[in-house]
Amino acid sequence: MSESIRRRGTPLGEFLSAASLATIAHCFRMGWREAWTRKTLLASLFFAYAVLIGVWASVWFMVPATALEKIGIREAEIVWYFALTELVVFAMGHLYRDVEEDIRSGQMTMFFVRPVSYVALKGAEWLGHCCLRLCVFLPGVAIVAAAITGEVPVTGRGWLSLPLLLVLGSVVGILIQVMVGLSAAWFRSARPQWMIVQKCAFVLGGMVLPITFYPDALQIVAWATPFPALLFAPASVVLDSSRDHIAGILALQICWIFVCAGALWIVKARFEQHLLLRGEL
Amino acid sequence: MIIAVESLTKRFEQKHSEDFTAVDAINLAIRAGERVAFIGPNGAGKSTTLKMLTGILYPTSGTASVAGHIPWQERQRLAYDIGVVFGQRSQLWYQLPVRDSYDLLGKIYDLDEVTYRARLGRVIEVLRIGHLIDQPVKSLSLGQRMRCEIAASLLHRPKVLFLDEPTIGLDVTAKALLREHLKHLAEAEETTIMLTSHDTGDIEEICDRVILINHGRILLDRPLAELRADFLTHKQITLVTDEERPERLFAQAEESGTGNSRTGVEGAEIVSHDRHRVTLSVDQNRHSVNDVVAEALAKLSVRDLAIENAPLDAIIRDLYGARKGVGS
Repeated sequence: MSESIRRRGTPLGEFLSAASLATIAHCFRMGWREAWTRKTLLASLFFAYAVLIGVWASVWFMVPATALEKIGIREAEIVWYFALTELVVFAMGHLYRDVEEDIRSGQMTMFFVRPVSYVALKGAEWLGHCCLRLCVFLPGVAIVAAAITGEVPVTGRGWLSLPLLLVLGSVVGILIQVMVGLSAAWFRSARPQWMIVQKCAFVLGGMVLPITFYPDALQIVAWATPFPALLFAPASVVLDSSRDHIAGILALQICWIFVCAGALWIVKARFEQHLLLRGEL
Repeated sequence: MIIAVESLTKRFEQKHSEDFTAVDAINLAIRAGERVAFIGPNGAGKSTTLKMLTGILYPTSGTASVAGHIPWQERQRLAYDIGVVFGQRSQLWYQLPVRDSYDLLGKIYDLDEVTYRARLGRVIEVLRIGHLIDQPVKSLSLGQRMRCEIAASLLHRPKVLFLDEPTIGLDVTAKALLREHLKHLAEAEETTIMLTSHDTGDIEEICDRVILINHGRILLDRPLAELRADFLTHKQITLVTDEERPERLFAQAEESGTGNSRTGVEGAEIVSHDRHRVTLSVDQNRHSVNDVVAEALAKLSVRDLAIENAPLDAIIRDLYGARKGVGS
């Protein structure tokens, strides 16, 4: 049997080989199916998500329309913008906790005795979860937001580009979460690091207000982080769905995916070194 | 040799105390097809050795070769030639049918479709899991899940199978079934097994050689047949009876002068007793377990009966005694 196995080559070739990509694609499909089997979780997440949008909308409805006009945005746009940033957050889930648990329980070792990367399998699994949730939540939230605001401020081009922007934003989020989870190897817990990342995403990613409305200095700081690619980029189609804008934010997301993947590659290498020297973490 | 280890040492640096040597210059040579029990008390160095042999831990010094690979330098290549089962860790996806996890493993190990189907059919047949593989893992009993875990480790037909407490938590029937399947499969395919377990039943029924490790050093390395004759001689019989103080049956025998040991049955001793329960230790070299049980069933109203191997700790204590004896 061993002779019949087609051996993979060097680490990078290994990762990009057809066999590895087939494994990752299979893992993605399993993640998708696994998320679908947990229907109670899906329903409760969607319920919490819809309630949050309702609460957020009622807060903005208390702000005089003239005040919003001054900063150049309408009530419906701000509600839809928030609904889309929250969509990424709810779809992504807490992958970092899963990675942290694998480290704590020693389950991680089951992956290290296999000829594929833990990070690739875990990432593919969670991207499967995330894409399933995006597919389920997006139509649902569109109905909820349309019912609350009475309009749909997303253009046809916006709708067409939205799935891709949401998936790419989620990929950025997944890469960040895996890094945060792996950091538990050095800090014993990943939660403090996650708190910092979460707060940074909230502020610098433009979770509640588009970063284009931020003061200039804060915008400069925000654009220098991956968080706008995660949250602002997909939600910004509510404000601007021109061809140039969509091309710009797609380029931004792809750039940050490469940067985050590179950073994760380094963190993963350090993590493996740490694991291989100490056994358990 | 499929596994060859020379002077393998692992020393852990500790910040606030002296360095700790978990494995201290051990040497091992295991032939292809051997089934070896690697035993020792907690903290003896078993897991550390297994981790180095599976490539997930760097040694401090020494060399090792497993299926022709240096484990810590060729971890990913080695992965194609080894299977690993850690009793308390799962490789199956909890929410999905077992078959999905197998399909994924087929992709991970790069098995072509024909090879994968043939191999899956073979492990399903031998481990008798045909009726389980389309059920979600979460619906399986622990015994069923462990059979499926072992099948998962064997799908790529590894040359060496590392088993860490494979029967932990299983009931008596599930343990017996699992041991039988494992032995059968290993014999049929000449798979080398390296097993760690605190259950002497696993050792007796699966392995043909025993290596004892403690404080990071190998204390004993002998064929099981020799060891069984010397040490694995005692069985523990626990009886729960309707009568009060069942130990009196054996004590009476002693009083009547029909036996010459503490229990009145040669080679049997009372380990413990309470109001409706008695536990006996029977030396099988001196007395048949069947006879003790037959006598108990004839004279007592037995509600429950359990026959177990002597605890590994007791055997290890005996082994220590022997080693010290040899040493002195």
